[in-house]
Amino acid sequence: MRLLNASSSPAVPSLPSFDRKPDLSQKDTKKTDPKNLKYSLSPGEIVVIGFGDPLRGDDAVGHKIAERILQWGLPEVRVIATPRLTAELSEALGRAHLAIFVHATPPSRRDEVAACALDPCPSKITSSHVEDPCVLLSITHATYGRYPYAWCIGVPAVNFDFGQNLSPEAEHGIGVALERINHMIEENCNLPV
Amino acid sequence: MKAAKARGKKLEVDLLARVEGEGGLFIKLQGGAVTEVRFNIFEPPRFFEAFLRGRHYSEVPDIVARICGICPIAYQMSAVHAIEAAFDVKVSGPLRTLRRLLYCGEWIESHALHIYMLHAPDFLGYQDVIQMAKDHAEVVERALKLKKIGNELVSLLGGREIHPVSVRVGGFYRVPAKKELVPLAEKLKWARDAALDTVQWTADLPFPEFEQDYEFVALHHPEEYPFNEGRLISNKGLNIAVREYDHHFVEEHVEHSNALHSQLKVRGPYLVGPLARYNLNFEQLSPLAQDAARAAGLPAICRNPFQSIVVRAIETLYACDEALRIIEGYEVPERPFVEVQPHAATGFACTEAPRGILYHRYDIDDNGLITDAKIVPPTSQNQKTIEGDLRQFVTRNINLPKDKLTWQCEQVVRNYDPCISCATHFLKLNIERNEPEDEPAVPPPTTAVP
Repeated sequence: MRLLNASSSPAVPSLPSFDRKPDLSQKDTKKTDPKNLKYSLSPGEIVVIGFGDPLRGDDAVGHKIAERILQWGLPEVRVIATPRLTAELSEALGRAHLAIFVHATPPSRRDEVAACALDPCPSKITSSHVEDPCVLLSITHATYGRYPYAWCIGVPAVNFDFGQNLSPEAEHGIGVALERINHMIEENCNLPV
Repeated sequence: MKAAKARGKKLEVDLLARVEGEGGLFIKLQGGAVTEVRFNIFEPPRFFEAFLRGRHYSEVPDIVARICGICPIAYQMSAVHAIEAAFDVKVSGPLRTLRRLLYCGEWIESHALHIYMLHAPDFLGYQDVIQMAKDHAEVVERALKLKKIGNELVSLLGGREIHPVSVRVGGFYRVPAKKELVPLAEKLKWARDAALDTVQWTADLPFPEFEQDYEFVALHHPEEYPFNEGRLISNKGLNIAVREYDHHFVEEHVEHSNALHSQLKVRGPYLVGPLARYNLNFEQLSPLAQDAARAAGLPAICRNPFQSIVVRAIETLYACDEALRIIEGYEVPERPFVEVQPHAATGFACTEAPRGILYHRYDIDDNGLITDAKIVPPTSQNQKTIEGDLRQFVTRNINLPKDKLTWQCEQVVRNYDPCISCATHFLKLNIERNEPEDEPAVPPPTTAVP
């Protein structure tokens, strides 16, 4: 979960995995100018986790959204992009007040961005990665004695072929998801601590 | 629970957690003896060897990485070494060292996962790590940090932590700058201390008394604890080059398993994995790891598979120590890979996956296309030994209450950390007893039950 300097080796595909807080010296001043922000910052840390395979077409939407949020330059927001969810992400969740998971979902009858609230759910850990954010919340609760308010945002995706291009549907979904996340961050300050 | 109740005709566990894959156990008792043990693996065959036929050699590392989400490095390492052996390519110097470093990351991540999240709950009496974390939060926190550091190492060298993409035949697509490794060194120093604590913590767990006369098989290199190179040796006289593997080992299909059973042609079942590596390569461990083993009270030859959790902790310590040594002496290679000229040939390699030796053999044509492939994962090699352990363990502990016997039979399997992405998700245990309810079957148990 880190940003590789792919430019030093042109043979390597860009792998924008990272775990970062924004570098405020590099922030997008237009987007982070307080006049342009509709909200004050939260009472606790917010973590956004975009997950999916950045080398498989629309599956990269979680990464793309994470990159965009990083550019917002919000100091209270920790942004993580990762191909898979792993148990150790619970360390970040244990410190967070609000967690937002975002990823690509296969086409369904409802081709729109969907957000659902998450609660911890007991499950078995048998591998180095976990498939369900709710399991991460369980690990977080058991290990750190608390867990954040959590949402999972699914962005409809249609193309999971090899490659780094997004479909128009996914591009559209990213815009909708960003608006939704923006609103969630705004509302975060109203959540009970 | 009364022992008499345990002598019901059938003992069943629908779900064995903390292993991967889909499988089951069937144990039959007659006249106080175990007459049949079947470690059923019914997960469908995955056909990777067939997928590889007709593919270009350069695709192999990325395809085989998909066999397992826990040990993809092992599959990549065995693949690239086999293909390089076919093409008479020698990867040496810093590139060779970087491969060891990458393997260190996988061992740290995989061993931390198994020690704390899959195996430790057995000893402490918890259903899973989530339950364990409620009482041992600081221990699980240590596990998560250790696992994260292992994954960060894999991510830096491999491009990402699960199914890495930077390994290629001849080297890497990209190698790190020295300054990229420096922050990891600081974390690895913490990890080394945490691994030392892990050795001490695991050494205090309650171990059933259970020693077997195994044939241990592992790679052996005269100068280093084995990852990628060496001869295949055993404690019973095996000493061969890897290319001779097929002359000494045979795979056979058994009706109750979709995973082939591997055995030595001459002597039958054998054991691979941390216990074998440790027993055959103690002198190659770093002084720190050797001292930790002694301090933990572990003998230089350990025949109790339940103590494999301590050996994994020692190997985690070694991997941290070795990673730090490599990082301190790291010089960026002039090129990230050496050139490869394909030609028709057969290549063989064996590397030490976290769970034991992983054998690959490839037949390649003049165009660099794979014409035949053979992959023998460690779990496949341990199946017969797992069945042997179950037979012995149940025989010695038949009078244990049903739930404890069931629990410890599962533990017997988990001693081997079966990599069930390569073999079994859930395990069903059936023990059938054809004997009177009140007839003592075997002498009282000698096992110390936690």
